[in-house]
Amino acid sequence: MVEQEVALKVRGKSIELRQGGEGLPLLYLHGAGTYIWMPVHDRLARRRRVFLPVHPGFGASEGLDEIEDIEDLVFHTVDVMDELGLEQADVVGLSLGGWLAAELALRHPHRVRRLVLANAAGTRVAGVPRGNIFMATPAKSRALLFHDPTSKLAMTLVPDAPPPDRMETILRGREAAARLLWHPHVAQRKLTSRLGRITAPTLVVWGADDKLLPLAYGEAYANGIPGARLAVIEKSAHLPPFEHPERFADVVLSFLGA
Amino acid sequence: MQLVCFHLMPWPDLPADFEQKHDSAWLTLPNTLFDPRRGQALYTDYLDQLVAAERLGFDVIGVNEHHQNAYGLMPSPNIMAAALTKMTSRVKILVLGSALPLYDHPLRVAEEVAMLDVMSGGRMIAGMVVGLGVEAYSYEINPTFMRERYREAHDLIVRAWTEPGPFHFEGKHYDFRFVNVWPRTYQQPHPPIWIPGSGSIETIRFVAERRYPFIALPYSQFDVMCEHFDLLREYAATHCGYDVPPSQIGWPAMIYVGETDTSAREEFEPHFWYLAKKGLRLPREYMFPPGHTSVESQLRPGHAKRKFISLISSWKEAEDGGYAIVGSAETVRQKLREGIKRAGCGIIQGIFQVGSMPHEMTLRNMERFARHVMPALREEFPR
Repeated sequence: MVEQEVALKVRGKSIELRQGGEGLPLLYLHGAGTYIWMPVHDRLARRRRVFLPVHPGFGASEGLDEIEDIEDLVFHTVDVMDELGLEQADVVGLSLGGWLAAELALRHPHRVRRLVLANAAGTRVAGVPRGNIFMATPAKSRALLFHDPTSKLAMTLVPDAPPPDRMETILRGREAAARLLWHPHVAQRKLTSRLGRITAPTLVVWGADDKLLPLAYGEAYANGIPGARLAVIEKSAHLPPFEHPERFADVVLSFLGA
Repeated sequence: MQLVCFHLMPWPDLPADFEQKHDSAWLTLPNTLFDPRRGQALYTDYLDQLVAAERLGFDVIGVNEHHQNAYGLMPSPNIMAAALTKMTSRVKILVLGSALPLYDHPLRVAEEVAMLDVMSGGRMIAGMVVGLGVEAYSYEINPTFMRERYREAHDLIVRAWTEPGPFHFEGKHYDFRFVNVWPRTYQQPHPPIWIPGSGSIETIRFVAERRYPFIALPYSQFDVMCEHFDLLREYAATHCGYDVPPSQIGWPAMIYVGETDTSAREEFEPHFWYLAKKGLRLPREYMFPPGHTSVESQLRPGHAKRKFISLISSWKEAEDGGYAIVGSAETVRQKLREGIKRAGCGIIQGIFQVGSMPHEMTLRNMERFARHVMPALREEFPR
């Protein structure tokens, strides 16, 4: 269970943060959809102190007006680490959070002990089309994101109609996601050409059936980052930490070491 | 009353099975469905209709901007306006466009409108629009920046028209070190600016503060449009300290005048449904990318009440909702009279060619309107 939910002050802005567990610090960088504490975080928290900061614009976190692109989010994330007193952490990022983790490792290598990129956005692979989540109906989104689009998990995380009391938060979150992910082609081109400069030991984890970012994107990350290893999670699509929390946590923890 | 003859220049030949085969007439509809030879004939007819509008006594003719769709064939309305400057001599020319946030170089808008204004001897009315949500896809513009880009481009263009150049414009999205538009606009300080809008709070504030004429978008219930006009009047009175005059309010209306109510409906209805079900076939996800409409506007009560024309299913609903003004001359006169009073508008932006309506039918519609409706409106609502 999440031990603590706090509002962190980061450069005057209130940032929602969840944390739990004991051990070396693990910074979990969430994707564009789900930023709540999930079963996978419990599993990771058995061996690590897990920090889950909510990015600006998502949930109750403020400050989207100062985020124009991924570089701003990297600066913000460094501020969050400073605020938490984390000189260095293992960094695990999913999707948008994976992209953020890769940029963080590239620009601030001493802050990242080990790097885990799960179905990470941020690169481009010529000739392999990506899905477009903004153009997709909820049903199509589930098909892009989940190995089993009819599962309870899929229906819960991507409902056909969001509950009215959550509507505002969801609309704001979609806006924050679009701000960063609409079509950042220049940033993607640059990151793709810079992967060889990442020095952190890196594990790339990918759902085998991801239709939003097909496995070729995982292979590109693994091939581009020196020494990186690719772990493919079967019967999983874009969200392996949620679709298979135990397997995902096991693979990640074994890479991070006790 | 300013009477506008406005044109969308639609592609009228979407096949009967279009709805079965395609989920959108925009963005993803294959352009192989466009036949260039047919396109040439259409452009000729459509321009002729606008030229006829001058002869028939309209005050303004207007063209429209949309991208990558079968709904309207004018990705560059300024090209149509350029042709019209040389085909007409008296009528004002409204470009509604320009979709400012779509351009990385909005200075080009300042230049082209200035050219048109000089070419036409000061007959231009410059529209400035945010662009539809789907156009964030068409032009690969991040929708969460569209409002900011719109305002900044607007400021740049107005300054380019009014301040002696060269000067440096330094903005967040645009930074031009040499703003120095040649030619300058014919009208001084600059051509009138009209702003169409879907009634978002942002747009209402924007026009109220600048006293620009506000033109509603035509495809919701008449009552919803009127609520936006009320909102504008209320906002201007409360926050800007003035009463909005009718000349600042524009009602966009599809208008069809037939010999009788029955024949009018028979003639008009197929083209209405072509527009509603084919031309405006547009998935919600294309129409509302995140950030294009503010969260504040989306959550406003009333946002849900609006029923977009593509969602209605019967002629009764169309008529009751005031989606189109259709009937004999007497009926149209009556409906417009009532509507003008309710809307408090001094601009009617009439759309006389709708969907697949052919050339001759459109001209007859415009002629009947000019002969039997226009004089009564002129008399009852003088300028």
